[in-house]
Amino acid sequence: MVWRIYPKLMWCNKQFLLFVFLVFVPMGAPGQETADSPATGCKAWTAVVKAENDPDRETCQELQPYLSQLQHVFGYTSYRLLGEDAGELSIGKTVRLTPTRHYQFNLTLQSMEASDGPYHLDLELHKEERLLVESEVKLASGSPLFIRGPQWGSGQLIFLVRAERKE
Amino acid sequence: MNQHDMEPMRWADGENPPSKSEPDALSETQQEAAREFEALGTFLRQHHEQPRLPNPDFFAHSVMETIRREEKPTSTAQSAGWWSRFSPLRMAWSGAALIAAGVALAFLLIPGAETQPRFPGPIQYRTERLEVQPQPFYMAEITQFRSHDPEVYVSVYRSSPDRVTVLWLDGLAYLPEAHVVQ
Repeated sequence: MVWRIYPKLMWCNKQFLLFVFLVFVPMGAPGQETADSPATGCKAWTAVVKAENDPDRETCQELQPYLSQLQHVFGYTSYRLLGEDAGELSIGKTVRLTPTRHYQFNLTLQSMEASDGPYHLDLELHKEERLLVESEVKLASGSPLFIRGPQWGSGQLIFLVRAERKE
Repeated sequence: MNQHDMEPMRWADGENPPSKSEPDALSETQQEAAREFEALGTFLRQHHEQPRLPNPDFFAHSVMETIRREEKPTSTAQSAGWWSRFSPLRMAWSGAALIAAGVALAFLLIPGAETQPRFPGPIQYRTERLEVQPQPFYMAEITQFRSHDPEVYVSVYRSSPDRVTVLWLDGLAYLPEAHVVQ
């Protein structure tokens, strides 16, 4: 009896496999990652800036997007980039960025709502081994955080922290 | 052959003779014909011997087998009528057709499912208008801040018109002009 129904069983299996292939394979096919798909990290950029009133000194290119904001808040005319450092953040992982030899940032990405942010970060600013401030911030692309540092001569030391989408 | 047609035959076989309690209901001619039929039936029963089957059981069995054989495909077809519609091949094609119909409906009914606008003109114009609208600006937020240095005082300054959030540190040591930060 088995050899009589075996061809029928094989035929049924082939049809069944075709059905499964047509129905389920398109459902499980990996699609391209869209903007709404969950991302797990971002890029961070930190900088140390000296603000001063020096008409002979022009603000560098990297700080031009923030020049009007810096001038409105701090009132200085020129801003000089002393150092910068960038890195990629992953959720739950602490990254140490060192824009200058004396100042370091410890950044930990806690969570993110979308690939463009906001990014929920734990931030620590160290001067050498001394912890100056720790904070929890929410940043997004195009919305940096400014940290007003110590007075320096006739100017001011300013720190910038920016988070943006990972390419 | 209905019941009315069967009556004369039964009558001729003597099974169901015409009622004799109602002789007046029949005419003379009918009564005469009835008597002739009855006489003929009596004669046939007495003188006409029916042929005997050599193997009546085998004959009955063959007839029943023939009847069963003729009825079997019909009953099988009736019982398997519904299940035969759900063959794997039909289900496969039905599934594929449904998926194709779903994709087509999604492209037709869900706005934005298609990458290119189907209709040129006003809809395309409105799409372009939506694309050039500026996205809402997100300002940085500071949810918590603290300093373990007792000499450092931390505050937050936010300016919505300037879209600036500043973590303001006071109490840090003054750096002389000759200080090198590099």
